[in-house]
Amino acid sequence: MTEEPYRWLEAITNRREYIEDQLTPGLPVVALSADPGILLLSIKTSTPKLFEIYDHLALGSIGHPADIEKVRQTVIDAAHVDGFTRSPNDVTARRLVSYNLAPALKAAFEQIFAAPLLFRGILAELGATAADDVLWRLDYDGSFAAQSGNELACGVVISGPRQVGKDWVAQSPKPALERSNLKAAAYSALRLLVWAKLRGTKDQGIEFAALPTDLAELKGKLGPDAALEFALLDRALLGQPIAYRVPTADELGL
Amino acid sequence: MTSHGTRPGGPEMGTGDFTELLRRNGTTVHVPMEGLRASALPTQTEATTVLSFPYKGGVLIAGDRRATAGNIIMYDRADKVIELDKDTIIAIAGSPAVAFEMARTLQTSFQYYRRSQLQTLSLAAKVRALGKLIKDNLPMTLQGVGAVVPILAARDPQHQPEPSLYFYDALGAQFLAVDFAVSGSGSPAARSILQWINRWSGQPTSTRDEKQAVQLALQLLDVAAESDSATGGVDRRSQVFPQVKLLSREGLRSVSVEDLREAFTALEAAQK
Repeated sequence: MTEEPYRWLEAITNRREYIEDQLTPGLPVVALSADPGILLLSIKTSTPKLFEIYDHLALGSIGHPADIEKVRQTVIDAAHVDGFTRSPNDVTARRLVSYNLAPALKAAFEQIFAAPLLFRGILAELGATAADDVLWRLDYDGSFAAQSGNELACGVVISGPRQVGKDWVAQSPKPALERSNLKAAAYSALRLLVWAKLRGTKDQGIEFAALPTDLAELKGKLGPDAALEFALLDRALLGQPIAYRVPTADELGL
Repeated sequence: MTSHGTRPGGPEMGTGDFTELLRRNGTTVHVPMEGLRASALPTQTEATTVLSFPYKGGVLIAGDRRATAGNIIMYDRADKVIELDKDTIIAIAGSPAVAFEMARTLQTSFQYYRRSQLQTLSLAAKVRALGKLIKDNLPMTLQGVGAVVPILAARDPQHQPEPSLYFYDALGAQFLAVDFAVSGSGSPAARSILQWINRWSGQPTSTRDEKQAVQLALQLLDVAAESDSATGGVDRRSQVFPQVKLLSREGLRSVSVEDLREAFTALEAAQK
């Protein structure tokens, strides 16, 4: 019976293994805080992975599309109710993650008789300057981690194989990513995306420094028909109701 | 853990209806006031003049800045012409307590729908959403407090890029305005002038350019203020000007105070 501690432990371990196994094919999503804003980048598939959440919040996600929808709806609902009953300035990623998303994800994960949520995500919060941005990594079990200040210099990456994100966090010394303008940030984010894609699939030992520098060659590493999905929380639009926009490929130089 | 928001595992998934979401989370936009007698009610801050008409480039929508409670002037810098999103403007007449809440509800509703449903709300749905809020406010209206009779200027960039004007009655019925729409205690004066202009002047508002339209709006509000103490008009001493916004195929724009001052100064100079 699952009421017995060891059975429960076994059940939750099996559940974790099942979720990780299901998430493994998930393509990486990268978020990079730069001077012009926060850039989110992924490989385009039939269902979108990047979403506007609130005036200054965006979500990058991998997982089952229906589960992504549930999480997306949850955070949109919470943000809008909070923004309406208090003010848009009171809607912060920290409160949404700590008091809403994370407990809900953890509760869903531990309900071992219900279908699990297949979800991993990045919640990006745009600040007045790049130093004020915060990037939150969120997982299906309710675990979360924030990246802010100097930690933002190396961006955030999530991928189907959990190890890829961990490997990037563990990099020492961290590769310096150029992010002074939008094109430089897009190029840096693309390099990180390619690294994560290769690291998660055929070339698990690849080092960031070993990636090609040529743009065409770099894009070629994603596959012959691969297209990119990107979104920007535009710092120039901060304070207006919509800071989220989809820049053109020309703007990004990609 | 806060209780608001849809739970990831919950059965109620997004319909995109923000007022329904508020209701589900125990927040209501309107509070019925059953049982209260009129004599027990406080004096309401209300009355105004808001007006709108088509001009050559699109539609103009304007409102004075005064808020009154009975014969007391409460405030002379009220913003009654409010942008709900980049394609929709509301001009409110009636009880500000309710009207501002309606505007805020609509602002959030439109963004909420766009973000949650990944598509924009249609023009017809926006027009109806305001009507529904007015209808939901019926208990307040019937008790003589909190009535709101707004004007809406809106367009749908994809399906109907030309802006349209709508007006409502106090029960929430919506009407498409052809020549103009006015509301508020000072509106009868503006209505009469606009009717005369469109029928007899030989220069209906739709033939006027932007500068002429802005000047006409200032004149109408100034005349309305002459006969209605609850309308602010143009405050020459404090240099408080009405709000004037323009909605056209190119989008939404607020006329700056500098431009309003220049337009009004030119009108006064022409009288000398």
